[in-house]
Amino acid sequence: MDPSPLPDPHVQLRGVRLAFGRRRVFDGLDCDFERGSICVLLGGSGSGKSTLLRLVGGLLAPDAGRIAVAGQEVVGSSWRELREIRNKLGMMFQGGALLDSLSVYQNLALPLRERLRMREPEIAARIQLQLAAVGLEGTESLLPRQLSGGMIKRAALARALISEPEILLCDEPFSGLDPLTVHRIEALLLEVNESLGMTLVLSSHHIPSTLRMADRLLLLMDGGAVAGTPQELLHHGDARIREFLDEDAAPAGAHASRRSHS
Amino acid sequence: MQPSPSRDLAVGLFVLAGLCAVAWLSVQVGGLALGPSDRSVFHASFDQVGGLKPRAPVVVAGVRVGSVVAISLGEDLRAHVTLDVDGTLKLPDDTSAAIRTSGLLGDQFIALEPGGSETALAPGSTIAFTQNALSIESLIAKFATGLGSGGEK
Amino acid sequence: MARLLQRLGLRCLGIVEQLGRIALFALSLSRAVLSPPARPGRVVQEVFDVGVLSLVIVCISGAAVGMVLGLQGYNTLIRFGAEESLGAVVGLSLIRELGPVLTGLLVTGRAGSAMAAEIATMVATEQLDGLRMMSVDPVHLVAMPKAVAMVVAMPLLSALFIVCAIFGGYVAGVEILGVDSGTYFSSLESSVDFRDDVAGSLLKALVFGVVVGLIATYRGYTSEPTSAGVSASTTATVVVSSVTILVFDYFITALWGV
Repeated sequence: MDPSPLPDPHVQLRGVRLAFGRRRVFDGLDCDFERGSICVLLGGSGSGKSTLLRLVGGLLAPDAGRIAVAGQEVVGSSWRELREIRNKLGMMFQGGALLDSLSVYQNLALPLRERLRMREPEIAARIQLQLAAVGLEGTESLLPRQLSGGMIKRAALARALISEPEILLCDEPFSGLDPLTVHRIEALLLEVNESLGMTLVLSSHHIPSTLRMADRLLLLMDGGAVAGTPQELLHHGDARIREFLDEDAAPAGAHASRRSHS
Repeated sequence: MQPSPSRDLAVGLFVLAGLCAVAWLSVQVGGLALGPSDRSVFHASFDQVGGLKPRAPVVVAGVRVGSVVAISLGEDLRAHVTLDVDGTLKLPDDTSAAIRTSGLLGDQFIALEPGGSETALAPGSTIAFTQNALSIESLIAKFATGLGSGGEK
Repeated sequence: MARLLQRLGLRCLGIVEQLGRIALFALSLSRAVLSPPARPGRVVQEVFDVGVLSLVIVCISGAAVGMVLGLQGYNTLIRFGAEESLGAVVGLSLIRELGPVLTGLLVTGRAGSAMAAEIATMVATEQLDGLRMMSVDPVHLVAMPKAVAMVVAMPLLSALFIVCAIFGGYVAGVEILGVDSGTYFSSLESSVDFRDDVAGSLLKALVFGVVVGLIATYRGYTSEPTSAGVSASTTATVVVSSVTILVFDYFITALWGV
């Protein structure tokens, strides 16, 4: 179960334990996310994918264990330290988590104003670019309730990306999206990963896109995790793991070819 | 926040209306004196203040000119009453102060009765001539036992 | 028996813990008020939601309460031939008690519940977590403007309530029942004192604003991230705020008044 040690872990979890009441989610979880890699979290519902992302963001404290982001300890850090850590993180929530009283523009401006303290003309230019990147031009003045589910996802991704964090945490970026948008977001994520060297940690149920994108997979099960490259897990000795990936899986070779293609 | 002039205007009008209401209640209804008020303070000692309370009105010829600020017991075991009176009022120095009752059972107040002196009473000075509160009980007692004629009015 | 005592003890500890948490939340709120940026735009928006949108119900309720007071007061006073004190009766009861208390209860129901529900919904939809991840303090961006707006709006609404009610009493007493107009206002003005009555009334409204603002934002902020959590925090805000207003009313009256 121990992950093979990675050369440059950007996010590191050691011995993380967490229980919600009687339900044990993590029971001594160890895992690493390598700098500049794309890692996809897999697992059935309730296996703790979202919880793991929340732990990394410091939104949730584990019962035991250590979590380090870029060498800085998250657990037990002060508000100021946590702020420093979060400045390196971008997070896209499953439901978007856009502030529903603010327009798309104001939502995207928030991290730039509050975190980077940018000036208004720069903010406007950055928002233009970012909205174009996710294909939401012309929605600046709309409120979140006037957007469709897919548009909310894209706006949330734009908000997570706009401050150009070192690490991007995405909770189910592909759920509920049409195939065209899935491809578009996939391409965008691959691009920021390549051009900015951004570390991506995604949770996903979407097996085809997972196999196309991921450098490494982390399958959460039984309170721990099984890590490996897509090929390793596709040919893993445990039948449960193979089944999890196989049900809808693209041929194993697809990953490399699609990747170089984009 | 998206700027919205009509919303800002509505909030401005609301705050203005609220402040007007506060001002009306304070100044008109509550009698709050604005600015440097022209008030003078006088003192008077009584053997018996009866039911007189702070904030009771002070009147001259039936017109309200001020109020009782404080009532305390002095070392001479007399009641010392501090009066707050309109400072523009020129009271002669032989003014007398009497504790009266409005109606048979009404509240007690202080009536100032100006005398005929030419010199004015200096602010802060003590009114020399005072008339105590009449107690209904003692009046009735006097009347019932036939010892008095039932008040000096 | 022992178990009963145990449960009682547990409940008491729970209440003490709650109070401690509210105090800590109040502390972080007041720190948020003092730390920049001041967020005037959001405060104005919240004053609009709390003040302007509550204005109609506050004024209508005020006028109705004033008219009832005028009618009841007249019917009682006429028995003693003291109907010329109607202005004093209406004014004193309104300024000292009914104005701030009824306004507090109305605003709790109208705006406090909405505040708690809005924040609780933001908790349920991870909006506050989203803010935290953007290094934005949700207390500063979301809760502080709401609490400040409540503190600002409550005394103003209470004063408007009282003014509406005094004129409601005027309509009932003078226009309908025939008390002399001058008598109504002179009895009102001679019996009401600034420090004891008007300042005390404004103080009460201010304290109620703090109470409702604090409880509504706290309940919303600490709600469970579910729809049941949203409804629970809304209900708790209305119940706890209303009871606290009535209890605090007694203590402010006892400590301030004559």
